[in-house]
Amino acid sequence: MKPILSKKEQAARRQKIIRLVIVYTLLTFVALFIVIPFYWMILTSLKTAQQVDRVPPILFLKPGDWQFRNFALALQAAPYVRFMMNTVIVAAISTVGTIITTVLAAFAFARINFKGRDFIFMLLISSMMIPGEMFVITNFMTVNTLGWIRDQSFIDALAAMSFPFMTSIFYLFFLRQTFKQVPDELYLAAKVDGTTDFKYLLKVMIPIAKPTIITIIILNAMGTWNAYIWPNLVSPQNEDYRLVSNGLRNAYRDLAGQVAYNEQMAAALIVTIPLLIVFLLLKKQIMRGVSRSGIKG
Amino acid sequence: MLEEKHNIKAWLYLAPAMILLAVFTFYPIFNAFFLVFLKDFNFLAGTFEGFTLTENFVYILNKPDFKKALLNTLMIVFVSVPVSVILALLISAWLNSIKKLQGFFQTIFFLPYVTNAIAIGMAFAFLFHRNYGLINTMLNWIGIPSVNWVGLGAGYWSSMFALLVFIIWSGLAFKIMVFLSGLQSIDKQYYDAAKVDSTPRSRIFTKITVPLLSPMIAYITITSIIGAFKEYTAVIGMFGVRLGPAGNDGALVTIVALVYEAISRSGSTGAYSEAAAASIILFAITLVFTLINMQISKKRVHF
Amino acid sequence: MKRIFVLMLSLTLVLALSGCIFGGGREETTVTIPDALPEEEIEITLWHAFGDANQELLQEMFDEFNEMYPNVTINQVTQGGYDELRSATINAITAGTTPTLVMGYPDHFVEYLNGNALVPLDEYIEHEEFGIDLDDFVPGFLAENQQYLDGNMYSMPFAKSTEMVVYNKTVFDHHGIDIPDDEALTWADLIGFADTVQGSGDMQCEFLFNADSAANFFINSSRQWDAGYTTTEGDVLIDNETTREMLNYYKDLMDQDILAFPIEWDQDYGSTNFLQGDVCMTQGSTAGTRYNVPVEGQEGKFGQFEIGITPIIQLEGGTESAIQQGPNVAMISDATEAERLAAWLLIKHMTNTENTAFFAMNTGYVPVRLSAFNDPDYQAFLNTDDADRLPFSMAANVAYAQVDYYQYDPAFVGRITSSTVRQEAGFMFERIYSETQSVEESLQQMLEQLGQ
Repeated sequence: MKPILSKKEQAARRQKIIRLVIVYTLLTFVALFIVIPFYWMILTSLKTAQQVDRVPPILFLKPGDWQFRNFALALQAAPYVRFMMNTVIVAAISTVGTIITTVLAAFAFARINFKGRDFIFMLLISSMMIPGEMFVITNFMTVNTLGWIRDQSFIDALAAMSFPFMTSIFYLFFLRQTFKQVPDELYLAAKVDGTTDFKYLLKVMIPIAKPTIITIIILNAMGTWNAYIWPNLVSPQNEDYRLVSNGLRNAYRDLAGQVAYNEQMAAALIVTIPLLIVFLLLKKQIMRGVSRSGIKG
Repeated sequence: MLEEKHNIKAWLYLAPAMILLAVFTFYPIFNAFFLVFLKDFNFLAGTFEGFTLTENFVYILNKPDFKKALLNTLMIVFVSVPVSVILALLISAWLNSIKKLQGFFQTIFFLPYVTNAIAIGMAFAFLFHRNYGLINTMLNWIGIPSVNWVGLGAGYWSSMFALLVFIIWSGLAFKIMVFLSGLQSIDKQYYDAAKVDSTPRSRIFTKITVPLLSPMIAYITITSIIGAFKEYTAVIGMFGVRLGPAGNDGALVTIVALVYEAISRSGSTGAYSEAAAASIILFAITLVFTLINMQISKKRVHF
Repeated sequence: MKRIFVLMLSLTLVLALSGCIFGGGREETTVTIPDALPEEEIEITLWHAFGDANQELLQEMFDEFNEMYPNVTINQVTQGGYDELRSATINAITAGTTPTLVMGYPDHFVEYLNGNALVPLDEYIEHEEFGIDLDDFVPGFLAENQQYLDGNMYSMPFAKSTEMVVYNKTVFDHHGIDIPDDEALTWADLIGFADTVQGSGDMQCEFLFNADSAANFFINSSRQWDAGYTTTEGDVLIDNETTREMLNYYKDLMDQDILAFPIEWDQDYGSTNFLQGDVCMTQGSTAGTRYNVPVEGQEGKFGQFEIGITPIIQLEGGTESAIQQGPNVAMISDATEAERLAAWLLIKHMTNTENTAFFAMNTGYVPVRLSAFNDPDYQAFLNTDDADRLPFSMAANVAYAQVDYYQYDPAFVGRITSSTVRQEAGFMFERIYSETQSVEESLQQMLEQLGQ
């Protein structure tokens, strides 16, 4: 038999439902706002060249009219598979590097007291205020001095593309904030047990900060995917070493500079979909909240 | 005990990051700073004709576009940052409060991060099309006549509005990710205690959630401000090199656009010094605002 | 702490001063040509911005070259687009990782010259054995490559294009207007038939004429009007009465819907609206021919109409002038004597009559040699009956009709560059067209932007 709710509980439940409805509605509106430009991209990628130019524009296509050949053409226009592999490798290297350097450094800034800590941190933040273009040429010369440009082998190309991005102040800041939220008491308790700092970092801090670390992994890997200027610049001698966004940008320019928009959108989507798959696989790791055991009451 | 200074240990932890940063971040910055004091720097030949303290700065400050670039950049900072931060906070709070479809929405909200700015810029320019765009269509539904947002002869405010919408749209994904991971890390204990007291939701949000999330809010605000000062690709994505609607070229020029313009002439004598000057001017302005922001944060961030 | 910081600071300063950012300075290039191509293995590299299709064509030429010179290995690498090509080359010059040959525009080459990075080709051209007969080249194309301030020739034309006017033959035939395909119309002619062809009637177009590139239109018109544009020294000459007269003349045509630009329809090119019948004539690059050809089931006011192609519009009583576009090829001075000779022989091969005709036929570029126009294959192409090839051959015919008066706009670097001026000219015309500013205001703003 169903339990009968008291009036108070009924009111509370009604409130809960109203709140849920409002929240879902708001989220749906936001989702629409986010999705509409994508809808346009997908729609364009399925059109014929004539349909793309049509005025007033076509806003909907029957499934029978969908031009999947745009995707086939996009795959043929540039060696996407190879570019994607290159990109995956570079992303992996730079992400692993970033995680290691960032975790260690964030721990220092968050937990270790040392002379000049705040000043150096401010220095790091300040370096983010210079536009990236100003770094490019010096880094190119550095990478060349390291021997990674002339007579470039695949390893050289990988090194040139990943080393400058093996650490990130952007994510360092992020992780430091997370680490700082871990209460002092936990640290003191561990110290009483005789734990070294490093063990503390490994066994306590990292697990607590897992959602943040996973987030950093995802964002860093995605960033590599979209990188264009630098990878292009450091592999000028060999197109085979380039990354995925290179294939996207260059595949559709022709003599007159006119772009086949439908094919370009198809190419953009081909590039986007692997990212989404990765995201889908990893997002559970972020969503799983972490309950901090240890200190209660 | 926590007050003890552990310099050597600290540097051991910092070493990997700092070495990479020294080579690939600080060294380039010093180079750039150095360039600004050179006269007639010929990048290709590696020569220069003497030193100058202010010549390059004066040149940039006197450029006809500089004032416009400054105003546009400031507007982008002061509008897009607060709006997108608040929106992201709300959205991630809503997201965190539902169970079903949470993953679905989260994936959708993440989409802008994985796409190519140029492709999306074109889609946005179309959304704001004066005749066929969705925005105008919706305005027409409620009786408001179409606006020329970004088309031929469009005005400054309408195109700036469209740009801001694009920038806000693009920035939401990252902020939501960060806030969500922050919200997910908040110890349930705090909420349990509040529930016991029957605290209303809005109070839970303002008195518990936001303060606990304040480190993330500070992080996002500071990095968003820095990022907004450097905005350039959004303008290119939406308007192309014209940096504005047709007939109003350069209306949405930003300071970084000036840097890029100088670098596009890098083979010309003196061009790199101009780029360096513009970067340093930008750096100074950003630093001022960031310091102000950090002062405010100090008072309001709880760890 | 502060000590470490100061240490780092001084270290970086030392590194910076020691020339790590400063590229290898190059001396004036001396040219010595060996008597014969050395037998050893020679490797040369060419950087360009071509896509796959053109790369294959180049490869065919390279394979042929290899049969003659088996010891030469040729690498071709595309940098994707011209901006990327330029920045890759600039960085390579500074770092010393340059290719042997690079394609590009004079705008780029004068930048490279600023670093003494190009080899003057004159001695190769005049060489007894390896020389080349410049008289056979299209004079206008050569002039672009001979403009450099020190009088040397640093590049050779390779893949040139020009502009043409595609018109709606169906409409013009209907009105009994015959448009020549080997002689240019003038603006007076256009004004003459504007009443008939332009309007809202069934066999009329809302706009008469579209020019794809406002920048090209300004530059070319300045030449036609003798209004002055720029010089190789970097002077900007547009602040005069003739320029104003010219701008007002075209503003007048704009007001009558005779002249339009793609921004009228929020487009980058006029082809879409030409095909849809909004405009009856469109002036654009010969490389964009295929975008202006109506297809079966063409949607638009006139359906699948017939097109004709005519040379670009001239000014009655003015100087004849047509714009040239497309990349030239230059040699980088880092190469060894042997590599330079091999590269020169490759240039010779790529620009010989047969190959320039071959390349042109397959791409929509224009041959760079006069004799190529008489090449039997090319002649067959020019006179083709094949309906699919017809538009391309019409464009080629028109390109040939303009061959006597190709001009170039001077290339220079500095606080403003030739590309800056070109870009500002385009924007200025757009402001005039959109009426966001008056003619005088638009001109003033352009001058202000250029620091004049």
